[in-house]
Amino acid sequence: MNETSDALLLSLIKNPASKDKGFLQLMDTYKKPIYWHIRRLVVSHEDAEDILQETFINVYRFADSFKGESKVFTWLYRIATNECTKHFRKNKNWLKNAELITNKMLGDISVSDTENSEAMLVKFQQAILRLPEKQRMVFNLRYYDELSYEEIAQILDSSVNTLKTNYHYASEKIRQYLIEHA
Amino acid sequence: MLKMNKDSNDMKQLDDFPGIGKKLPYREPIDFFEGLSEKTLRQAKLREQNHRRSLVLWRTVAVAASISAFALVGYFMFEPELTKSPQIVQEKQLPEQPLIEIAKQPEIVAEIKKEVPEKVPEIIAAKENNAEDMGDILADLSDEELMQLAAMYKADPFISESEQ
Repeated sequence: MNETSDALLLSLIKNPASKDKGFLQLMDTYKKPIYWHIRRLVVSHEDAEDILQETFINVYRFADSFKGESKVFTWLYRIATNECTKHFRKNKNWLKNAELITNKMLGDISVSDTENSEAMLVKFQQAILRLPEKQRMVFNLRYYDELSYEEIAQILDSSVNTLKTNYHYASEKIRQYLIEHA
Repeated sequence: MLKMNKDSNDMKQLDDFPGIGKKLPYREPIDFFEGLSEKTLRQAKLREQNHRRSLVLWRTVAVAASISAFALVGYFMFEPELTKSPQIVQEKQLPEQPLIEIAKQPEIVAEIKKEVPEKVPEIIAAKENNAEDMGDILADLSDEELMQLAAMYKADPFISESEQ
């Protein structure tokens, strides 16, 4: 999505006459990447669906408060990340539920050479789940979304150097976990 | 996957786990994204409508509470009965008849006599002993003393109006 398209979308949303049309276009553009960003953090589809909806409801209601100081996707990712943080605070058992889901996945994968890669994917997610919240967010945004540290800094309101450190430690911990559970 | 920006200097870091790649072990439900935008828009409009209604409700409640508070304060500030002194209120409340009956008891009379000014005991003593001496005593009093005596006599709650 280029900046011209983003600016057009924003102007549509901020205009009461075209707000609904602009919102639908915005959501059609960003719903999948935002969904997967949330899903990677919370694991459960039901939770991801609720948080995704909450994110875009906030976008609709508070579109006027966005001043265009950052890119649109940065703004959307920030709202989604904040909603995930709220979810973690509200649901103390979310990690237990996420681990249950990944353990069930491991149990469902039958032992065969071709499916070792599937098991590896699940263990990779389990390793990410064990990271502290901030490291997990930084790792996902950098590894899966391939965002620059400057963009991640705008989303997480953190310094670039701190984020680089977070990513480094996160990678080390994941590597260690995969070695121990190979 | 949305690729927004790539920092070519750090590309090597993104291949930290080459055997795993970017694949995830879970999928979204089939047709999950179909109609999601329209459904979310409906929810957003409903939420905004509910928010506006609750704002109106809370503003109404706040105004009603303010008016009630002002009315209550005004009532207590300007209510006439409450501005009178407690003594007068108490005197109005106390039944006069029973007090007079109690006051006629000899021991109560003696108690009251102890508290009246000096001239009155003389007057009472004269009245009890010899009524003719009363005139002499009164003649000795100054105008001011006579007026004080008259005021005390008039204000005495234990003397009935017919005696006055």
